[in-house]
Amino acid sequence: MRPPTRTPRLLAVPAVLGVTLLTLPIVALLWRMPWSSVIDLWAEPETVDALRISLVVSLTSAALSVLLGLPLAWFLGRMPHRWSRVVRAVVLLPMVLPPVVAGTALLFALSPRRGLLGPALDGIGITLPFTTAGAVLAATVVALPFFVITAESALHPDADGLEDAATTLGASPATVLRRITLPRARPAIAAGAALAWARALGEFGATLTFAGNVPGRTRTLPLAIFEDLEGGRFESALAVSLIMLAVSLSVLVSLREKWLLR
Amino acid sequence: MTTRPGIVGLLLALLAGGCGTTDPDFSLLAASSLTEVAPQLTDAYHREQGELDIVHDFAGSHSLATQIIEGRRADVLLTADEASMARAVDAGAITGDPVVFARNRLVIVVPPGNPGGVTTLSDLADPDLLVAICAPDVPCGDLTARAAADQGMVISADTLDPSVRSVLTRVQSESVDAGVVYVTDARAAAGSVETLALPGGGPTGAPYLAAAVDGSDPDATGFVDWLTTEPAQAILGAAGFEQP
Repeated sequence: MRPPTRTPRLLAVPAVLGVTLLTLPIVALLWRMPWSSVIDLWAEPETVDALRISLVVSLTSAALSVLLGLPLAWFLGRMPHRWSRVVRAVVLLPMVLPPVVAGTALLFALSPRRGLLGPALDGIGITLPFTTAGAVLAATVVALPFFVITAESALHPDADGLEDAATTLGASPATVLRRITLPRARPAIAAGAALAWARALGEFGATLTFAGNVPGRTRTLPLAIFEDLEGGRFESALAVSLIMLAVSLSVLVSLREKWLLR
Repeated sequence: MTTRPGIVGLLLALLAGGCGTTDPDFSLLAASSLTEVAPQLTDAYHREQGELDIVHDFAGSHSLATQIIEGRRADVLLTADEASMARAVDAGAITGDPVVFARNRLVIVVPPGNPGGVTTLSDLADPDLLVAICAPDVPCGDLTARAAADQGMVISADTLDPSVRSVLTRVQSESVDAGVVYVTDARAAAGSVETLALPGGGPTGAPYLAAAVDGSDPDATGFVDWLTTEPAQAILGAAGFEQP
């Protein structure tokens, strides 16, 4: 039998405070929830539209984060330290930047009228601001860093020499990646994808600034909630928040069971 | 190790500074479209009362009403419509009756040089034009929808913004070809946008309402009453607002 681990009791105080800080707002939200009209508010066409846009945008953005972030995370562990430091800092920048700034910067880059690259893209028929693709782009800018930092540590060249051993035994770099590096990093990749998805689902500032707010095109659930609040439709805002809570909770819990706990 | 006391001291000083702020003498919560004019109004009203610590906070009318309903302490609430003020009144967050002190009108604003070649409101039905307007739930969006309906057209909007100020910013930053904002916003941004009148001047806007917040000091009611007097109306008129 394992000896009981001894934890300093005093640690429980800040721990409980932390949990309280995180759960109290959620409890209050449920306390004010207009339970009797929640179903009717969910059935509003605007809400259904926003849910659809949110799912399309957040899932595409999570997939893009994995597609771009996986190679990026892999290279980060293998490039010279002085370079990886710079690249890592650049990758993490959107995490500290207020999302509205990220959205404005994207507009400066891609606006078809005055952007850095926008007029050229517009010339070949690609317009990103104020489109669903633009909403995906905005969400990916803020979600990608979450995937990269989560996946990076797990993709580091191993300390136990397993990758070296495989190479010595004649495995090609692609085989090492496919048979050793990726399988071993699978839980971290799944966790990173889940985090990126959750971040993309909750994205608000960059989306509103860069993609605008049009029902059925770029109005995601967070934008619908904000508009409800600005329009004084309090109950609808709460009901839509409940959808976000339910969707994210169910996905994160099922992911945890399927992927994260092996 | 030697730097640690310095850092701790700095943190303590910051904390003390943050906690040490007292209640302001006068706090005004106002709709975004009053951003420029509200400080001029409080300035003029309080000039004779000596140096006062005045706080202004600008946001959407409904956001401000919600804050007050949820217990935010403030002296005066200025909204850009009746609905948000009615919510605050119904919740018992207001003392006395709200006063109508101004009205506003809409205009089209375009970036300098008018790159989209906009001449009138019906041009905004063109889906190739990038157009920003207010969301229908906020006062300026409600008015924009009425203006379009008056012309029997629908605006092909690329974004429905939750605040009139974000519409203005999009035009100023040349992210869109045109936007519909209040005449007062256009005037505040004169130089960075060009202004086009709506056909027939457009519909008259919803009234701006002022009220003293429940639990505010007596001075708050004085300020609300003063808003309809000649000196206040002169300031509002200079900013482009119309008489109540």
